[in-house]
Amino acid sequence: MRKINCIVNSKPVSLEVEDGRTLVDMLRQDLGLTGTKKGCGTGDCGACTVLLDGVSVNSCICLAALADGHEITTIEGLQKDGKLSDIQQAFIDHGAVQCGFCSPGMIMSAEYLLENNPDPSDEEIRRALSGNLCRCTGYQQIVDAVRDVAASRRQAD
Amino acid sequence: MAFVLHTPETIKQAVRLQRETGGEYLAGGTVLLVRHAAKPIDGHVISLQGIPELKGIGYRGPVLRIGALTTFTEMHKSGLLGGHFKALDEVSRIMGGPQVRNRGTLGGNIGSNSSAADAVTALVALDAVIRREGNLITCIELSDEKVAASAFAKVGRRNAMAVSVANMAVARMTDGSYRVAVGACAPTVLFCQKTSAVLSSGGTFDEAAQALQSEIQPRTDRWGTEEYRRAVCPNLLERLLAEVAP
Repeated sequence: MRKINCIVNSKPVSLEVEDGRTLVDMLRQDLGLTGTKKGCGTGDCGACTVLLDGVSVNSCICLAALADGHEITTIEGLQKDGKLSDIQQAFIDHGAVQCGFCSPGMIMSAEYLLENNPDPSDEEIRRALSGNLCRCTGYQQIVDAVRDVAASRRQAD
Repeated sequence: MAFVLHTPETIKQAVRLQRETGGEYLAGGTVLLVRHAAKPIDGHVISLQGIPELKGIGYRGPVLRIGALTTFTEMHKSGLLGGHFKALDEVSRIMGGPQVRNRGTLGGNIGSNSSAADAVTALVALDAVIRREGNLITCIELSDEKVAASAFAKVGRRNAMAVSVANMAVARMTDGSYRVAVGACAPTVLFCQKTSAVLSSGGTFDEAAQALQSEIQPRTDRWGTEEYRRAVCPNLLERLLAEVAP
């Protein structure tokens, strides 16, 4: 066990973790942040995607111990004052959520994309979401939702 | 959950820890921690993530030096791999998926010891120099003076998140010679010596394709068949030669 200090969703957190504990297990089991899903557990499906220092990663193949001193944003960290973020709302408006298991990871990948590329083409949106599997929607509504958010964020600027 | 994690801050400490514990190095973790998920790793793991000396990409004279812990995203975003090192830029742009490219490193791809490691194929074609300290890969060097143009392509079951069924890199060197490397078509990534020699001495495409067939040793596995790999390799060669043509 070792003690780690990190910032989770803008709040400082201190806890003890085992050396081999994965970041997704720490978030879900130790911190109760069950919005982040554990799908394959082997870095293939993207359901566990979170932002580590602003960069999207599969938290099932990151070690909790190595998050010491770093900043993590999960799906729970996107809402502001109890209001859904624009991407979360767009997923609902476009029917981009069916079973919902991929949605948190998809939304974190979309967040990472739009932070780095405010005006993505459809191909860039699809490439940015290519590490996230969805077995329900066929992806089209998800791409539509992300395109819509990109457009409204540009308009707001 | 059984391993002991070490977090050295210098290359020296990491090499010493590895020697003392016999542990495994952890770079981005996109290979090691997948293995850990399937079968928990015992013993010692030495994380390289806290070693600043291993990170960064930049020129020293005509040599582009890439720290072993540089991620694929960092390599692509640096903008330094356009032009003649395009083979490695293409790997950095397409390998795995976004989350894997954000975490996976160049040194880790080499250390993963896979015959389908996309970056290794590019590095072999580019005649890269791999520097080590003890048994730790510290940096990779590419030379402007050696490479004129290069290209990389892979074939997988799908575009993203797929292991290469075959990958290939071709480099046209400044002295007019060619270097061809193939991955996932032999027990290791293969430098195609005969194919490269045929192309370097001005041979025809058909002669080069014939040489290529004599060198590759593809086998059928869960990703693709031997026949498919034999059919696709000359196609990749044709496409890549057109991309690097003067």
